Amino acid sequence: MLKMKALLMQFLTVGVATITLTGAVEASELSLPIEQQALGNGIQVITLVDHTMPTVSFQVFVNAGSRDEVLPGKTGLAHIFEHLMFRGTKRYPSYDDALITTGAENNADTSDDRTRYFESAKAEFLDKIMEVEADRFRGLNFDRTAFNNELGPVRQEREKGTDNNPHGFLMEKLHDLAYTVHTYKHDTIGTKDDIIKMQYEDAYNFYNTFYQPRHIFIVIAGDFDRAKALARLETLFGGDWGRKAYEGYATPPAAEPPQEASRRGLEIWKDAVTPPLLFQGYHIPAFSLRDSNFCALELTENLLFLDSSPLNVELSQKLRLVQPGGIGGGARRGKDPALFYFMATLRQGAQPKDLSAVERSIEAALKRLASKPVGAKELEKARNNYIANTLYGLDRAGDVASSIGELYVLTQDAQTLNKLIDCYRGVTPKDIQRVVSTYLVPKNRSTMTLLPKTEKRDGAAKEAK
Amino acid sequence: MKRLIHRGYSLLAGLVLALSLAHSPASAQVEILEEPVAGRGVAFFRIMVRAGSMHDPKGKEGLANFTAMLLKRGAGKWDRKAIDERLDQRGASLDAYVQKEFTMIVGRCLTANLPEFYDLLRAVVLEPSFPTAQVQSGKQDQLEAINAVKNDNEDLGLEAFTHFVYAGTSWEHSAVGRVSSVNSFTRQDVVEFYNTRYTRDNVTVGIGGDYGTDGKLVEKIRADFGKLPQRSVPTAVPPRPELKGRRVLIVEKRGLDQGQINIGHPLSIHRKDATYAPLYVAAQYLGSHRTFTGQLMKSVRSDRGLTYGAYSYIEYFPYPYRTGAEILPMMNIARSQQDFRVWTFTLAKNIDFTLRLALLKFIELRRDGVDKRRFASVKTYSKNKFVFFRETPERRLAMRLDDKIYGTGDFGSGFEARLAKVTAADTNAVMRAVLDPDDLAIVVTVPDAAAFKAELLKPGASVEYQGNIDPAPLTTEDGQAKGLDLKLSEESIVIKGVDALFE
Repeated sequence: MLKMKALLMQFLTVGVATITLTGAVEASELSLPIEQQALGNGIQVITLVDHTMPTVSFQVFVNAGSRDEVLPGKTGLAHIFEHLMFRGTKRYPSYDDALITTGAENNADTSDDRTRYFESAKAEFLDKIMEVEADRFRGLNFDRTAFNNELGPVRQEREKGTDNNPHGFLMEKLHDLAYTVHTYKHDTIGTKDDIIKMQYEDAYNFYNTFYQPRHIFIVIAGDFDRAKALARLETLFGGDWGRKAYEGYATPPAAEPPQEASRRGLEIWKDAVTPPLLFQGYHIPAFSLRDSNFCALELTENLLFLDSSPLNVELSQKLRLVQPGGIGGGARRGKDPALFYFMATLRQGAQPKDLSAVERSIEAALKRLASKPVGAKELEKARNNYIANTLYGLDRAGDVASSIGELYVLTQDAQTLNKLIDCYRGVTPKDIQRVVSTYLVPKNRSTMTLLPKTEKRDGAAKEAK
Repeated sequence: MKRLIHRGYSLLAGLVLALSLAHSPASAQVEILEEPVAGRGVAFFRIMVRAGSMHDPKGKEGLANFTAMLLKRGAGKWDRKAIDERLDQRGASLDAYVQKEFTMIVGRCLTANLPEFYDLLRAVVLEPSFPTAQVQSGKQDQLEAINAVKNDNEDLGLEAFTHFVYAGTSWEHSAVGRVSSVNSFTRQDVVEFYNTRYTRDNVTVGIGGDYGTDGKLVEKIRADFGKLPQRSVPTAVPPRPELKGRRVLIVEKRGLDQGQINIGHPLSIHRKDATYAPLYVAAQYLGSHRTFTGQLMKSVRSDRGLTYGAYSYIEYFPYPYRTGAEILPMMNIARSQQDFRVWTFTLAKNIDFTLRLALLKFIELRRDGVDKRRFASVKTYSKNKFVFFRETPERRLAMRLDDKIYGTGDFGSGFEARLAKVTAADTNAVMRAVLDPDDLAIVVTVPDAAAFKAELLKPGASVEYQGNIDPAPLTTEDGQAKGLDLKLSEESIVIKGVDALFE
């Protein structure tokens, strides 16, 4: 038995024993037995063994996402590669067929900051999974036919998530408005134009640059033998992969200059039944635990958006401007300075003046947080929710591996998950005041609104643009 | 009219009460299922109440959902604000959702907060106050929930499929109801529904995680829930609609560039049947969800790039993204009447061809049977993947609750063994016995219904590939799909606007 759960329990048990009447968690830090080793070629391997879990999860992170698409007109490359990696190799012409008898839950996803390939299965299949994964990382059958055939599904994915989804569409517009030069300006899926014009050679250059050992790390969690796995990984993933990086990607993304004044945009959706939307983004710093800023921003998220928070109650229950559950958002954890989001879905039939009322409520809520220290009970509530949700998310091997890996992308510190709860616990009312009055201020804000289509609004939108 | 319906419901409820009191065994206790994991630090509840949307009184469609929504808006000594505050203060969650045959109340908290959380949960389930003000505001919230379904293309497609297949039955309407029925709700409706359906016989309490080993909480649950009125409420048998021939519902949603395609029919078997395991493998073979294992995914996506996904199911499978589960079905969505369904989506201009192609793949598989070698792989895949259905204590508890719906003993612990025994011949036989390509409901969402109807009725279909796909290797199969006879007539096609599904 062990180890992760026992230690997790130890934390929980301590936390449980010291919870006060108001529910404050005063436990010692989370202490998961996370270990980190490096292969000979520098690939970092982060492991957490827990034999009580019925599965093991193997996850390969490529430290590149849409943030790294620095070449003009070449967006969506990180994402299309996520697709292409399922196109097979010389040895295994079909990736899914290679793993089919394992019953592995496998998939991949791409974000601004990284691309992740993950498989979870019964412990007995880890060796096979590692072998097939190494095979595609080292010998992908990346030809023009595979590339051409994958453009259609990517287009369809974009149609589904962005072009026919008002929330996805407005989020893309918000990023475009909030950033002027940094690559967070474009969404991970890529712009429609860039996907249509995407060339095989572009993808090839991206692949050669980022799909090599110095940009890769591996996380394994669950039921497995650490020593055996490490030895096997050295054989499978070790050595020189012989890829030459494309010089076009040598320059990191341009730093986003400070925003000088608030920005605003309006979009008209293509049907008349979609409810009005209001999205805002405030520039915030990159994720870090070096100071309390980011944890304070994350607790601010709970102060603003929990069901019982004053802002949520005002908008959804008193003024009844937003749909139930129609106000949310929070701080995005980014490698580079990211955004703190407000996302409001208004009630059907809401008018433009209602959007203004929502904005006023948000602004008033931020002013309250900036001008007066938040009460101890409120802060505890915000903290307890973050801590509880962190713990709730450690149920499955796949979730544990992903939690560890996502934080490693941002900090290059495998122990970040173990440090999170202490960070939340260290946040004071003054920290909340400081981050709200520093970052969540009008000049730092971009606002996008979306209205359903009417003839009159069509004209207004063209004027606004 | 509304008043009459209302009165009729009240009378029926009274009759049910009188009948059931006469037949209730006095010693019956509420059923409690346990899935303990000592020391985990987190406890959870899943409480199933046999109060589903199929139990909504006629004219009051959506009432089960409305009742469930109101549970948390006032209970015991707490009002809505106090309930939300107490939950948030402890980092706990408590929600309810409604399926066809039951309401599921789901709660989670840190073990440290369990006593206070349980007090709240107990009040919410056993002592809801249904404040009048919340009834009024709640109606607006439920109308927004109807709009949310209309605005979500995947949800809309699936709701439209059920609406079409189960037309005229208690399963036709969405759990969120209809605009007219929601507008008619009164507090009295809610109270009567609650009193009728939230009874001891109708409730199963599931508790799991780290809730203590001394049995005290379980005893408390037994005592508290034992106070529910003892009454067996007749549970209507789920409808098994007849579907003759191929019928099409075209749902028009203006502005769409991408359309949803759902093809299928009601099934005559489910989990407790011996033929379920071979049919399960067949569904994986044809279209395993979110993998490239299935034939549909290969043909529609990998070879042609027409879609992002093409899948097939033999159980209800709502689009799971919002739950965070990308590959597994949501927990506790069991239905004792299930459908076979193929789901895909594509650009509006390619819907006609894509639905013919998906149909062709289904027809071919049923006619030709599985490739034996491929079948062996898919069977092993299905067997080894099953570990995820039981990976966490909460999933194991959920599966045991599903057993109550399906009438299965312990489905979870025996299914891998059942899968292991399945042969290719079994799968081919069951496909031919229970899947029927001639009696099908075809439901599509399109931007222009009239134009699409005309397209369906004319022979042949066209396709416009994107990117630089080389059509040469696809020519033969494309020709077969384009020429596939849909066997449709003017009368077999129905057109509806989105609003009509909820009116």
